[in-house]
Amino acid sequence: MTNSVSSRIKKLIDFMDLPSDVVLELPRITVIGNLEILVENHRGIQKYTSEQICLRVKGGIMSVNGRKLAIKIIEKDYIRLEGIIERIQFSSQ
Amino acid sequence: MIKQVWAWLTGYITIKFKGVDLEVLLNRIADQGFGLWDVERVTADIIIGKIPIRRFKKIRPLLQGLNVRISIIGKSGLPFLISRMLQRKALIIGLVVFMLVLYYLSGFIWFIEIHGCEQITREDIITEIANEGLKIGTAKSDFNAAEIENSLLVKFPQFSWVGVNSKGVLLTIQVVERTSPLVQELQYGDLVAERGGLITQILPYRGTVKVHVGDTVKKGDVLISGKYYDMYGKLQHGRAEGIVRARVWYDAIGEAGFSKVTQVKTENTHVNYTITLGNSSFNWGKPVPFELYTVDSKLWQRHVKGYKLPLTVTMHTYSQVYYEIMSIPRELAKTLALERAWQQLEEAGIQREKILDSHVKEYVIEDQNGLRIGLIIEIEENIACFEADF
Repeated sequence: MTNSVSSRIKKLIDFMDLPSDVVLELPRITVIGNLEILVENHRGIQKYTSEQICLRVKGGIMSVNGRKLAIKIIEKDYIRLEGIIERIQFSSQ
Repeated sequence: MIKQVWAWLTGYITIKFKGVDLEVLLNRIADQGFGLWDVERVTADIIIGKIPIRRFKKIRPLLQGLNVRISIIGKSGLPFLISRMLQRKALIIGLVVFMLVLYYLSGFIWFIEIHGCEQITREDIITEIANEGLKIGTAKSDFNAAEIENSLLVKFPQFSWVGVNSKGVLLTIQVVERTSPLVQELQYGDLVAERGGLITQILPYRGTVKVHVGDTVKKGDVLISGKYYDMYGKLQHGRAEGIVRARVWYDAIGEAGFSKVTQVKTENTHVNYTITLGNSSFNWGKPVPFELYTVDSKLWQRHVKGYKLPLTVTMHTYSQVYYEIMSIPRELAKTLALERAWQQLEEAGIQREKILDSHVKEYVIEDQNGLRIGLIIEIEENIACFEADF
């Protein structure tokens, strides 16, 4: 039922040509090479080690794996991670 | 970047978080809108991060219900820098004294630059302004630029304009020298023949023509006189001007031998060294075994950061030579002699390509060891030369 509603909303957004990240509060992710990743609209950190940083985003968990990972800056809805990024993975809660 | 600069200006601290629920605490800090940066996981239970100083007290309530302890491990930024500086009173006093001394010394002239003078030397101007009380070390308030300008204009009539400007500790004196009218134009006199010749063209601008086309003149003959009658029939005494072209002759002699001595190197060489340390030097190696030789010296000296070391080693390479007499063919000797004659003419200011109406005559006078060539050229040129009446 929920998926069906989301699907209809997505179609409506596409039809009206609205930005999904604003309307659906989806994370906007910018990756710079394998060195930096910027995530807007995050909902907090779930796990933070130098090999893995898990962020809560709408609809699940975004996991960043790599080496020497560090949080360059964290604010309410903006986080910038640095390090050697090897994998970015999404999983539903 | 701007945030970091702002954080440095307002001051920030490095905090160590130690405990088990560190991610929860980070989320709580972020949710409150307190930006954290350079967050680094040190160990499994320690995280360090940076936060503006004004946010630090607001973190304490966020620790409720968490098993996390926080401590400050570093303070950075301008407020802390000022605080540390204020504790070093001697440094502050030194800085203030330095600034005061700098301010005091900037009230004096330490450099003087002079531009635009060619007829008058820099030293003369320096001496003159020193007489007016302006020299290196004079306070800027102790002289008046306008007075200096006037004094220079009065002292040196060659100057048509003088500008004196001080900028910081530099005094710039810009002068413009008067372009004097040519002395020649003020003189009266005739145009006379610079050298003898056959006149081909006369173009008088001012004066009375004393010769005619086809006349033969010798050096010193008056060509155009400075005395002439004006339109009112009055005798005037002025400066003769005009062009008088004439065919003139130049001669030169060139010589060349039928043999020449040339230096020939053998394959025998010898090497020795001169080692110089400061003012003393000594030779290393055997003396030169040849009677006749040429020497080629190479200097070796190390530089360290632009400075020459006092140690130099010079390598002398001696090559044994002998002299051989080579014969020169007669035709080659003739060409050489002619070329030398031409060189003499060129040194006298005659350009070979400009001799359009010239006649070249060669006189070959041979003697025992060589030959001599006399070269006479004929050229058409302006022979008029001004001679002032005294």
